Amino acid sequence: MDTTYDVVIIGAGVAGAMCACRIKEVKPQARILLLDAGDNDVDDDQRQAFVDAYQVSTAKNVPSPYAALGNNKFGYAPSSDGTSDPVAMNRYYVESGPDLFKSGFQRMVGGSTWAWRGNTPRFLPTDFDLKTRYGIAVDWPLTYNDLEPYYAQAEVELGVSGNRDEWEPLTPRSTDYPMPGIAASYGDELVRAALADIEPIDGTPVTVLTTPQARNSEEYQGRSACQGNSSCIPICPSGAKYDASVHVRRARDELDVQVRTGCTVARLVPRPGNVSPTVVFRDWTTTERAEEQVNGTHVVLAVNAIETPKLWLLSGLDNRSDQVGRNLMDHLAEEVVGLFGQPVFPYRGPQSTLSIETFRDGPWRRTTGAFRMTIGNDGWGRFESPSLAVDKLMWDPAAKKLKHYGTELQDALAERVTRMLRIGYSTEQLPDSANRVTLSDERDGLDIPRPKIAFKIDDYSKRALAYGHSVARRIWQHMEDTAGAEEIEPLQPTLKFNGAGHPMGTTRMGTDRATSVVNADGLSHAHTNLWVVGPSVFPTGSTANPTLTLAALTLRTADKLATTLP
Amino acid sequence: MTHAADFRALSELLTGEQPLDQATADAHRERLARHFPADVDRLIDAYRAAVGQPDPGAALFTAVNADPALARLARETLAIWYTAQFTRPDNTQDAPDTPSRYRAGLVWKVISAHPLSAAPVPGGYGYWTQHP
Repeated sequence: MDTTYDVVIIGAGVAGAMCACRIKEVKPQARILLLDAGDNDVDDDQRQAFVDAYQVSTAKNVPSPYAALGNNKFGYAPSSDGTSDPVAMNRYYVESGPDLFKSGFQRMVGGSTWAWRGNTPRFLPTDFDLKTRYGIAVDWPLTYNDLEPYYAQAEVELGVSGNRDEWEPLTPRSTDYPMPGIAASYGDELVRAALADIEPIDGTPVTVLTTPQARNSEEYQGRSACQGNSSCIPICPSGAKYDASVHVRRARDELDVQVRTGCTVARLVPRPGNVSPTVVFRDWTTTERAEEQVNGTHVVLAVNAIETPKLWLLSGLDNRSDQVGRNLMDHLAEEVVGLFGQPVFPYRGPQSTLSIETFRDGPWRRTTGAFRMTIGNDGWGRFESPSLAVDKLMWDPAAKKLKHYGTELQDALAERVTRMLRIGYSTEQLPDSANRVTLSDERDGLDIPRPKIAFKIDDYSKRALAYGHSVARRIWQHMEDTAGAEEIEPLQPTLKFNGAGHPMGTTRMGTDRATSVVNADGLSHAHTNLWVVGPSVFPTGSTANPTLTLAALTLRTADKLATTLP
Repeated sequence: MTHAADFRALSELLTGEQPLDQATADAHRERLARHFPADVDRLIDAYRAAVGQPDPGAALFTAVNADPALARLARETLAIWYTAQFTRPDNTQDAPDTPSRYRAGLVWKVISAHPLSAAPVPGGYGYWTQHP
């Protein structure tokens, strides 16, 4: 293969693939190599194979469609498992605690977007200046207004459905959404009606909005409108939900980007002089798995907030700032479930379409994390699956006897599951330099160090979880009082949490090279022509799902990089 | 009656669903028999004893609950019909044997939904806005 490129991009997820496309669109003559550790294809047959694997899996959890991919199955660049089971997670992560970092990722061509829900709210303008506004965390080196044009472009790239009139007051916009907002479900509308007359909670109005989603509400760029398969996480059978296979295909098939899959980068080797590091990788699909190397005038790291610092550290790249790997963040998430007063018929349509955004910002944020709330359209989600409901209704585990059978069991099941509703809250976590990714002594199937993670939930986050529960509980109380809701739990805050699948931080951007790793353009402070795209560059994590923001930042970085090319 | 027919018939009593597909019943019976080899025949015997009673379903329910091993197999028989999956004696899960069997699980019909990852046909964009 050619061993010199204008740009070598490591990671073919949304950030890397979109970066490749944008650079090529601006500079069609650019020679670009896109490397990924996964060896999956990105066509319809591959998607169907993932669906089949999901359907015959026992757990139906996030990694179930992808578990058989060679890199996962044989440990060549494995994904963490994306479950909150510490044993399963630790097949890849080595966690030193004291708390468990619960969010994984999918290490494959197209990355974690294969398995995301598709929610694409923007960060709020206030999310960019928490230090100035509330005296907490750090400010970003750019503002909402700086990023707004790129938000608009990212929404076109992903294909976002949303209602401008609902969102303009929260996140000012220069453009309409590419598509109208996703249609709410039958049950969503019952909930929206039930909450129409709820009083403000602690002075904050409870306003239900249509969540912007990278899910087609009409045919868009050759992909169909959503078919309502209700399996957005972990696999969209129709492709109506954006995943980065869109940009991988565009890069490979339309823009003449060279894509190599099954290639795990082993390290970056700094070169003498004012040039980017050499990329050393192994194609694990070959018998020899021999090391190969390639040089690019520019190198772009696009391998998420776990793998990017891991690769940086194992390569011995410049870390005099001691910032690489630090400030790992997630959105700690929990939910309050209950039975609505009448059937809401979950498991029909997208897993959620409505949200409550009013608790994403407020004066309490000086001491207590903010949160986004979602109204689920997927029953009790992780709390109780339909299969578990069957077992709970038919079986008495103490007596070891059947409780119900026949049509009586059918009726009990229908009565219970069709009324299941969850209100989730996903909380803000501040950067903490002690929450970090380092290298463990343990190695993966290619003898590459596995990431070691130290993670602690601080009091700010615990207060966010407690306040999120309090607000969700009071929303349920209103539905109990006015709409016949019952069986609400948990009644008290547990401080338990799930990972949101949103690893962020670890190579954050900033103006001061002593406290950040890259500048506002995503360019390394320490290394010439070494760029980082993806959620690792976030200085703070907001309450919004990170993909749209990382996509906007990626387009901005790609434009900056492209201007340096001949 | 044969084992095959009787297993299907007892499944109809347990699930309340009638008629159940014979080929699916055969596949389910074989999967269960691999892990509960002694008890499948005993469950069928219990069914044969119950079928002559005034209320065969109630008689079968009483009979299986009087025998912990049969109660357990009755539970897994219900599980496999509802979800194409069941719990083995060692408490590991026996996965759906094929995607189509997963999609044929009774649970989705009973809760007025569709199998996750298999949208209803006819359906299309926005079907979920309507009462099922």
